[in-house]
Amino acid sequence: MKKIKLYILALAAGVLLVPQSCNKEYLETAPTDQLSASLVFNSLTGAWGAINGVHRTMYIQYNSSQSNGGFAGMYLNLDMMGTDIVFNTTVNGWFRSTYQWTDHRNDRSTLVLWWNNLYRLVSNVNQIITQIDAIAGPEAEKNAVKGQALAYRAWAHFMLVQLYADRYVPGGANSQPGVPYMEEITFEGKARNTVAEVYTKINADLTAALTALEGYTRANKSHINKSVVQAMQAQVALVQGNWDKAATSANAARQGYSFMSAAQHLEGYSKQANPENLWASYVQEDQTMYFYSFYAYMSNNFNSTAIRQSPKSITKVLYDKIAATDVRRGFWYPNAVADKMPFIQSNGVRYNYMSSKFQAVSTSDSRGDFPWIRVAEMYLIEAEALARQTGKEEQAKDVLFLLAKNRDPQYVRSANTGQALIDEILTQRRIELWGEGRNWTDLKRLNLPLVRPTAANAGQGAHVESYAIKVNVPAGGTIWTWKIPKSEIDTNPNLDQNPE
Amino acid sequence: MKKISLIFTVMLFVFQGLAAQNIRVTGTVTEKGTGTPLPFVGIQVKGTTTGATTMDNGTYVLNAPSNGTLVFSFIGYKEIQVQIAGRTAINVELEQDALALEEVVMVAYGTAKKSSVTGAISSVNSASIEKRPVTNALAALSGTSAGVQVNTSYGQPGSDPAIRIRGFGSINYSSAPLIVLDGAPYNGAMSNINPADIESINILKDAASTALYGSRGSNGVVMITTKKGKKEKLNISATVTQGFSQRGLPEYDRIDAYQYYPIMWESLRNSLITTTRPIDQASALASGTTSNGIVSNLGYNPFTGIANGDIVQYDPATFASKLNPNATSLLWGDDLDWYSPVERLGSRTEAMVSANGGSETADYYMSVGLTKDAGWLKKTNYDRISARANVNFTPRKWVSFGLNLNASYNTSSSANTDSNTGYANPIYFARNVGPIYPVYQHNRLTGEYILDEQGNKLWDLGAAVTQGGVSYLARTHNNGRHGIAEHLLNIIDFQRNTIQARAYTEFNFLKDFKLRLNHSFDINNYLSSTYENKLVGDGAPQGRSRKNSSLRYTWTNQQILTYNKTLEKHDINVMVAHESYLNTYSEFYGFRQGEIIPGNTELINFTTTNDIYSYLDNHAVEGYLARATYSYESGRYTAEASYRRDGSSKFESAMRWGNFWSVGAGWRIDKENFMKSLTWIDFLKLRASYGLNGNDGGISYYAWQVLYNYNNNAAEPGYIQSTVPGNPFLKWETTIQTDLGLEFNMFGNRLRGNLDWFNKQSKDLIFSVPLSPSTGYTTQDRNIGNLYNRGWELDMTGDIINTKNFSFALNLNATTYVNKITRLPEQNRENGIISGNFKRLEGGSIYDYWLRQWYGVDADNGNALYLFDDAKDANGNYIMTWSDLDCKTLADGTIVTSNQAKAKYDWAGSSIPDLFGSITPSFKIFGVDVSVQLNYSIGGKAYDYSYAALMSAGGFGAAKSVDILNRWTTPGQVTNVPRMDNSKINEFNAASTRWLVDASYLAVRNINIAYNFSPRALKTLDIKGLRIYAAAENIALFSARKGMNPSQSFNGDVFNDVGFNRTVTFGVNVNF
Repeated sequence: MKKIKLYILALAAGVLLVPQSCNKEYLETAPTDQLSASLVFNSLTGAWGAINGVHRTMYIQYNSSQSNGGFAGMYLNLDMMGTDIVFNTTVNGWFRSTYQWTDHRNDRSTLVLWWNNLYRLVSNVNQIITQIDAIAGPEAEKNAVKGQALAYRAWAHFMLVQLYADRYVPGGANSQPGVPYMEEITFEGKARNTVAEVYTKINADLTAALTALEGYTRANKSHINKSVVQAMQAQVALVQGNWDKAATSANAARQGYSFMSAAQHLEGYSKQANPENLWASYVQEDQTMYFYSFYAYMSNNFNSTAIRQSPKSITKVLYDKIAATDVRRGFWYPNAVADKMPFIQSNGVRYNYMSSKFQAVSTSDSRGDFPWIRVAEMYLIEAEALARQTGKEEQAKDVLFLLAKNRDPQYVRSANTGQALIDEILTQRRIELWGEGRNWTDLKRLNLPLVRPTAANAGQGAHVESYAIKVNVPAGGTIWTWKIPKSEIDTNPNLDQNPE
Repeated sequence: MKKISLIFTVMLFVFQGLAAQNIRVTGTVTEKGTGTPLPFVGIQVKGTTTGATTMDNGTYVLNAPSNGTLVFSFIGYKEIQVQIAGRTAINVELEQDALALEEVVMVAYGTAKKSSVTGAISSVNSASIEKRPVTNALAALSGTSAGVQVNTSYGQPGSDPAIRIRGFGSINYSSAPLIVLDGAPYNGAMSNINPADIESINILKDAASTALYGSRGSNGVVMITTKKGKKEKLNISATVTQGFSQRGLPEYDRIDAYQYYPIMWESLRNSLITTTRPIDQASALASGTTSNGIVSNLGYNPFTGIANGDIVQYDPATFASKLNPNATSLLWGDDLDWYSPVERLGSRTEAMVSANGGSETADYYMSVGLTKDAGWLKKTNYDRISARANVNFTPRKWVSFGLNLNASYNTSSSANTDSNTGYANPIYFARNVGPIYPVYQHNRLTGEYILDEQGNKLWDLGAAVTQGGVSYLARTHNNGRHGIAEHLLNIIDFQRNTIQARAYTEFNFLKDFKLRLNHSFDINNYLSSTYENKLVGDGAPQGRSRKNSSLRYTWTNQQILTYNKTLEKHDINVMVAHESYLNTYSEFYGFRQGEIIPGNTELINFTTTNDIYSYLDNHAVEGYLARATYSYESGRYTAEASYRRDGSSKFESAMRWGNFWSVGAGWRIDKENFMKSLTWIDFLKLRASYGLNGNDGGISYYAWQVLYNYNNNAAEPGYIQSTVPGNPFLKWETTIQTDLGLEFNMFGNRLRGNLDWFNKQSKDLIFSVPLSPSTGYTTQDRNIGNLYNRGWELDMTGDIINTKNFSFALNLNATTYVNKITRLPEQNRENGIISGNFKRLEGGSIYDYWLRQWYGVDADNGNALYLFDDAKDANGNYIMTWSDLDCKTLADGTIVTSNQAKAKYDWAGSSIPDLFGSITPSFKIFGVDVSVQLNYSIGGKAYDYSYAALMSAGGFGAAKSVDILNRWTTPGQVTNVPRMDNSKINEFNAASTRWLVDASYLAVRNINIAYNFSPRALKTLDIKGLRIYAAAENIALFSARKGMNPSQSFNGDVFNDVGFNRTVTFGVNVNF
């Protein structure tokens, strides 16, 4: 009896310890926080997920850097290199070396990683473009996905070629090295296409996108529809000096969009619903943007060190060009210190000419739906492109009037002609798009020098030389072309770095 | 271990004993020297199977032929043969075998006699672990074994040190060894285990000893065996220690407030000089009070009674700066040490009670231990309470079973040192804040502290303030942040409950067979809590809190069948086994902000959800394994072979299974006849092993799969392609290892040691092959690449002096190896792979620096000079644009440039030392044991990021090293520090060979002094043993630069982390 008990005990112990594997499934595991690629491109639903992911790439954080918060971060960096945003102090380091024009020439800086970020987007859309045709589903819907992907591809290369290649010279051969125009899924880095080739391909993709998106009604403004593609065509044509196409595309793009009301102007350019938005992200609450949001640097209400201690100002020179009755004049506070305006955090500082153009969701929520393209830019492109064509100055003034009159009810239709008219349009462009990332590429496009107005003391709406380091940069020269990241140079034997 | 085989031996005799006729012999067996009676000594009549065993009091009785010979043997003692010669009483003294050659050591999936082991194994026993006042047992490995590098640099109590065995077997994946705890792979933190519960740590270094771990064994195995009961009377042991910790690594020498202002003025002034603004104007501007003046750029004027415009004066002839001579006192001179609010005398307390004992049918070991370890930096704590029960039953000869269970509850708080230059990193902050900024708020005119209503000082966040109607500027360095206040106000805590269970049943059958079923499971419940305060830092003004909760359940299931047969001189041991392993990890993460009630960091107390997610991971491994060992004449010749077939869920099904194997041989040369004449050689063994195993450490669980990440576009479901494309052809890295070892004892066993040559050739190395960012991908893992680690290990102990009242022994170990990459991916073969400061090229090592070549300082103008990148294109022209503005040819023909972008990159040595090891002298003086452990490392270079930051030519408000006083100031001056110039930081402070420094060091790692009271003295107290001791850890470090820890990381990086503690403890151990 005793022995039996022992056998039973031993058996029980043994059973407890028998192998728990030995079936084939045992070594099959799959992640729960990621998705297999095969599940993405086996249906239209999956393909929509892929293009939605691309929309999301517009506002994710890149390279774990606070200055790489989606493509709003790219535009912010670009504006930091421009004429019109002033650092009042150097107490906060974010964007400072961009402002000082060192990072874009440093192939190891975070700044030059926009190369990576833009190509990452390209790779995602190339997956869609190559795989969408094999998916079963209605052609129209497939076109809606593919057309958006093509537009993104063009847009990303358009940004790349503006930053990483010498400027496009309208009417020139443009045989200088551009950027590789990536159209396939590959692990091999490609050689640089010439600038001319890149623009040819950009235009081809945009044309194809326009066709594909014919008749597509988008769910929301984070998607790309026909008018966004037309807006991109206008931007591209403007850089190429293709004035006629710029004007007609801008005109087509702006159809169906209205201007902001005076009240909407004060909403801080952070709401997708803004009627001027042709294309803008929508960032919902749980997509917290922390300190990498554009609005964590450029709003006046979010509580970040950058905003509390280093609010950015407009130059007095530009401010003074805004008419007293212009609604936009209210964005900036020339006497911020004395007037104790605008609102800031309790331990924040004010500097004269500081901005309140941009508003984050709240003091503790840095989110905002950055406008990728606003309709105002289309008016400005159309006006500029018309003004640069012989015999179309009056049309240019008409278009400019529409925008300017909306901004300033007292605005009188321009009496300028020739270069004075163009200058007026460009000034309007600087005012209207302040902080939205167009200034530096405009300087490069127009082959203008950087001329930053200076003052001996900070807080006067002017650059301080020891803060800015670069206050005058002559037009042209290698300094206007960004360095390609070292990681690309090290891995891509087909491609050469931009010269010193 | 000894006891286990003792029991075996005993059983052998008990059951084999046959009653003989002849005469009845009795006697007592005692230990030579001490006279202690020895129980369990085996006595055998030579040439027969007749035998007996001594009892508790050392006595024995047996019947034997009156002309026979008795063989007395006992593990750990030298065997003795005595002729009976008709005597009926034979008393014998057994001499202890200093070497315990028949010691049984733990090997993979079993045990083996040390003399017949063919692999390279280092053992660290409980006695040497006990000497080290460390909370993490792995830290006690530093310096104990040749071939083993241990990184014990961190000041965070309880943290797991990094370990490398015989070099770096992987470039992109883990080179960390597999940890095996009581027979099962262990992936928890080692600090869950009380070091005092550990019986031994064996380090398995070569293929013969690790091949059975298959795809996980190639980086070596650290095998931890916990204590078990001895089959003897109850023994109770109690230990209490109390220790103190202080900062072990001093701070870098930095300049003070008086030196700082003129230096920074110089940096500003030099940056203001332009073609249109000559030095006189720039100097005036720099001294002035505009935004271009020094006060505006530094913000704070710390000098009593000195106006802002009068702080820095300059010589109108030379424009050399000097501080206003009236600036002789500071407004807040007592408040400039940023470490003082967070530095403390840490306390380290340990208490431990254990009981062990046993009988023929059961044994037990139980312990409860408490450790409270508080480091020198406030809020770096580790507390552990652990309880262990190891119980084994042998109810019948044919079956035994047991359970070894450890439960621990661990809590810890730590500093935020995630980022080398994170604002919340208190070390970064305190080290780099300029010497003019106070920790607390002061009246900027009088210097008085500003207090709140309760009379407390207020943290100075560096904001611009208005006091008495006067506006004062903000701190220009890390404004709005306060790494010290943030460290104190934030919380980084975790709680961890763990259970490690090891259960087995073992059946003995058919005489020589044994089937052992092991089931092991580890449970790891982890809850971390991170809170960021409302006052200052990333959490301000709302306050935010993160909770990270995870559950890891790991089980290992083994079925091991062994056949063990001894036929006269032949020992045969065969083992076959099956093992399955599953690691299930689930995590839940929540992050909210908007603190409602102060002091409650639970998520419910916050208003807004920032992030929330959960996920589950599974990792499974299955293996079939076998080993055969044949040994002739107790290890005179030994041959061994092992094999494992392993499958892993990390790889695609076609690539999933792999074969791993080893062969080994041992030859006891001293047993050969031709050695008989060499009496001074007591033991000489040659062993050789060769084999292949794998490494899957660090490879992602789903590395072969092409994946998309969930990234919704607002509420629309969206996925973004991973930038790291999966590779279905991926398999583990393999290592082919050769080991040749010579073990020796000489001069009456007074000199003992071993010498090993090893060659670890790793192939199929997984490279995260960098892809061109223009493809949209960053890297892809591919099995391309070979490297080897080849070198020598020497471990030697000499009993140099051995007298009654004084003995002196010296242990020395040394390792040298070459790490060489022999194959790289095709596309990287020519240009290598550049990763951070390193370049990997065939023929080079994993840690060969590839940096801009620092040349020195231009004596004419103080510019930093680098060697010019003189690479030429096909036409013979420089690829870099030559410009007379920034390039020049020196008299000796050297071409240099002041433009870092045109600097030449070149090799600059390696971070791998030429030779490292330890020297451990130990003394015994009238019963007092003293041992000292010195760890040394010779050669190799470190890259000192911390120093580089302190040597910036600008950076207003940031602290500066004293070496900045040697900066260039005057034409013709020869120095190695460029001029101060805030506009040239990028040029002057670029990453270059300038920041490399010799990494050689000598560390006084441990001193231990112990005294054992003699049993006689304790008799009246009714206690068996009493030991008092003092131990000190990290006593001193001698290196090339004060403040630097050259062994902080294996790749030579020196960065801002909590430096190690210097700990001194005092302890008492009582045995009942």
